[in-house]
Amino acid sequence: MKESTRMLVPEEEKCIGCRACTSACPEKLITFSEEGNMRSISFPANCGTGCELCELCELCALACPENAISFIFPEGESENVEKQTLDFELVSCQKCGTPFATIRELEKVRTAISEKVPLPPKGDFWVELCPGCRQEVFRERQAEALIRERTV
Amino acid sequence: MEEKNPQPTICPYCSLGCGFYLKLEAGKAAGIRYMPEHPVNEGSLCPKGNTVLEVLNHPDRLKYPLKKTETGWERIEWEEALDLAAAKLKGSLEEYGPDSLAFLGSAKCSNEENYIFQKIARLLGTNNVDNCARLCHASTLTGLGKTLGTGAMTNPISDLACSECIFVIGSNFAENHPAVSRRVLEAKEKGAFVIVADPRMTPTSWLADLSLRLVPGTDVALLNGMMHVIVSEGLVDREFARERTKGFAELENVLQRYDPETVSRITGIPSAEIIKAARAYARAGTAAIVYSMGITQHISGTDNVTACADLALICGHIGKKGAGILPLRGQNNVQGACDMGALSEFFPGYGKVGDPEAAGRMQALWGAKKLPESPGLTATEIVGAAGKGKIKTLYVMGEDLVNSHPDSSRVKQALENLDFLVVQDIFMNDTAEYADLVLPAASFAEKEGSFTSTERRVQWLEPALMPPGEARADLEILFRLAEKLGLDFPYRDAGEVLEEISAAVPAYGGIAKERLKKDFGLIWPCPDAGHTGTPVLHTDSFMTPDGLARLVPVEHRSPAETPGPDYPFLLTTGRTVLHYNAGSMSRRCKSLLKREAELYVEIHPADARTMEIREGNKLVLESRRGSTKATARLTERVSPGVLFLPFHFPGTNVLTADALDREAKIPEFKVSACRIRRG
Amino acid sequence: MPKAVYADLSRCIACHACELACERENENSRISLQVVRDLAAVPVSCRQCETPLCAVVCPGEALNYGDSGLEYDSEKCTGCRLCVLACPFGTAELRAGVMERCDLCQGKETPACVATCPAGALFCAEAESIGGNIRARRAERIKKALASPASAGRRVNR
Repeated sequence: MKESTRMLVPEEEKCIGCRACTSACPEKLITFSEEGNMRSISFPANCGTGCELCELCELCALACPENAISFIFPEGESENVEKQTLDFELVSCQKCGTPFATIRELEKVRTAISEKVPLPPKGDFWVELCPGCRQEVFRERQAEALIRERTV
Repeated sequence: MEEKNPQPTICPYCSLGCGFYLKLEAGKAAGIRYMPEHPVNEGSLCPKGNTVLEVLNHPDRLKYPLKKTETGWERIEWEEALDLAAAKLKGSLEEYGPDSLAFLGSAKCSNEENYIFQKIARLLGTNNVDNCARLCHASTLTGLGKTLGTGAMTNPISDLACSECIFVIGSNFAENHPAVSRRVLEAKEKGAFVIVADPRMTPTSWLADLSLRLVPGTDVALLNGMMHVIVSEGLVDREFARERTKGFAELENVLQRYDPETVSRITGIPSAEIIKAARAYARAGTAAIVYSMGITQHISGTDNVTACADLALICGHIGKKGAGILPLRGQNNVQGACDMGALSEFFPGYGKVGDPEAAGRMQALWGAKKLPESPGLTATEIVGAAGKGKIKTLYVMGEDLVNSHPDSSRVKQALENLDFLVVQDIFMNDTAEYADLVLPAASFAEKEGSFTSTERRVQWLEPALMPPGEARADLEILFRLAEKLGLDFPYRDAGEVLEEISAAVPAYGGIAKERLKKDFGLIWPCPDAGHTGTPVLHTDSFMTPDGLARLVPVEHRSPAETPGPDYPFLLTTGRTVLHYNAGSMSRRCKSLLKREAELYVEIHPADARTMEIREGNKLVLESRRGSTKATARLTERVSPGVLFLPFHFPGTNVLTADALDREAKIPEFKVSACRIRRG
Repeated sequence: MPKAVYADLSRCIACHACELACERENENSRISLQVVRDLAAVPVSCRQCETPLCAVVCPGEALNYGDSGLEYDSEKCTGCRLCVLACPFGTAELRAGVMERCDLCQGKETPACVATCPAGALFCAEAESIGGNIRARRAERIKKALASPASAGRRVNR
């Protein structure tokens, strides 16, 4: 029996659902899935007896932009914790309708950017477009004049 | 092998002859460095050129001679392979005579290789030797031959930058010869007027000041219509027509019938645009005509080319910097393969087979007792004759005729009908699958030799790498084959073959290996060792016996097959920027394939709507020859009623017909009748 | 001002050479060309913004910007994708879990996409005034073009 009984605890209030932890985990123990306009991130269950796979490397915690992952030592006999899943609502692209980011991710981006550059009002803003559509819009704008010229 | 790293080399794809460097690491091609000092591409490279490493290092490269057995391919030794090839050639020769043999040379192989290839054929007693120029620019040889005296590009590509008007007809150079674009754009910056005539709207049309979308197969009508306007508005260069040409009166006579309204009805181009194009071309101080397979690949291919020449001649737009006719050839050495006589009707240097004097010259040079006197079969005729059992043994050097010839099913039947088929190539291809013997060849970067680009620039290519496995340079294979056939060839290497070429081909008289290695080669004609080459042809006289160009009137003819109730669509074929010809190289490049993975068909959105076809639908296309599947691409690049298929994927040429131009014997790839349904 | 790859769209022929050159040099193409309405082609790559929003949102200090422009240390990238969501042009991408960006082929005199462009449509220049850049470049080219050996001259009085 392993001595370590540390447990991984994601904090729902802090987590923005960005999936940095899923890419960071060397054992792929943190997973995500998307269905409709929901994204779910699943953190490993803690068996309470020390996990064989998760060596508690803490890479997930280091990767997390929101410091939302911590490790705790439960007092006394460790109890079994079921697989922990957090659900996030996704924002759909204003142009193509594809869900592409969580509400919290976009809020984070919006806040960070607004500290540096003035943002246009909501509803007419590239943040509400998925990256593919942003590129397409940029392309179309760039090509507009030339296409007019070539249509004549 | 000379140790240079990076090693200068020449692109193996199209005919422009672009230069670049191969970066080598541990004997492998590991990178590309651009060559800004090269006079043609100035350091640029198209997408295919950028991916040649994927071809060179491809695991599919043929590495050993392979013999077909009942259980499949068996690896054999070179000695056995060449003994077998020689025995089969000699066997057919003895049993059925020399004309039971046929040889298909390669526009992807060097001048030296093609020269030796045709020499072997002719010394074995047959003129059944040809190359794939038959499929792309045979009509350039016939059309420009009879008007200007020689079927070659008159000016270098860089000259386009000095043209005041560039008339592009049947060429989508932006996709197929991308580096030409930089010259056209340079001319535009100086104020040149660019006219693009093409049934499709292509990236080349984007560069046009005037875009003429003609009905496929109506090029003669358009050209005659423009000439009609030029004559009736007094824009003819009378002095030039009088002093340097013959036949103006006859031409003028025929042109009378091609008034703009009549031509508009045939071509679908508004008459005002025909007039505008005619005026712009004729009034320019210097004007160039750029054409390609949209002109040549028709049953009227020779006539189309002839009409281009007539147009240039009556305006005096030839023989000057910036003024000329620029047929953009297809492959890296299609010009050279023709110059070398890998053609059934020409000896090296275009001496006509059947002309005793031309034959006498070759006989003397080769120390041959007698050379075959009648013209051989062309590439397309060889397939026909094989189908009828008249050709017993076929030797193919570097071509995939199953995918490059029209009517693939018929080609396959013909190949099955052969007693023996040898295919020498760098990859296994659909033609090699029918072979009895497959010989692994070296790629461009693994051998030395000279290559002649579309602008007649002869460049020397030095080896950068060793061929994979036991693959050998085509020239080395041919030397050893010749020896097995009992032919006494004295050459040790390509340089020595080039010495004989300079004696055989007058235009190459002053071309030698050491000279080619300097300053990006020489532009032929270069008749002697002191000559520095001839970038512009026909400056003082034409290459006809009397030095005068011939104005030859031609008439519009309908294509061999036109859409009707059973086959309502007009199918035209062509190339795309991301792939190349039959695809044996480009379809092996992952980076190209992921951008263009499969056969697609361009269909106008209005037609698609009527037939309830959506973007990406799988369609079945049927012609009188067969059927093929392709993915629908809805686009206004094609007009309603017209379908376009690129020919880089197997399937396209299942549909095309082998209707031939009667002079050039080039097939009409550009027009067939077709129908479609959802697959 | 940071330099970036710009396109003179009137010259672009949609050949994709830029993408394939980039892909050969960098394994993945960091420039992407698409044709708009069959009438124009637009290659798009990192705009090398003066205030790079990708760096503004980067929590892991992988993307940093200062006087010497944008610097990127892929070792520090955690793969959080915030840069992808912050890029107004949609050019930031994650490959193999980390952000990948155009570094203008650092170490080379000219970025591969620019050097390979058969039509001379791409160029690498300071962002200051894109329009001004294109005009200045065109003027320069025209000057050069006109200085090249003269054509036969316009025909008169025939």
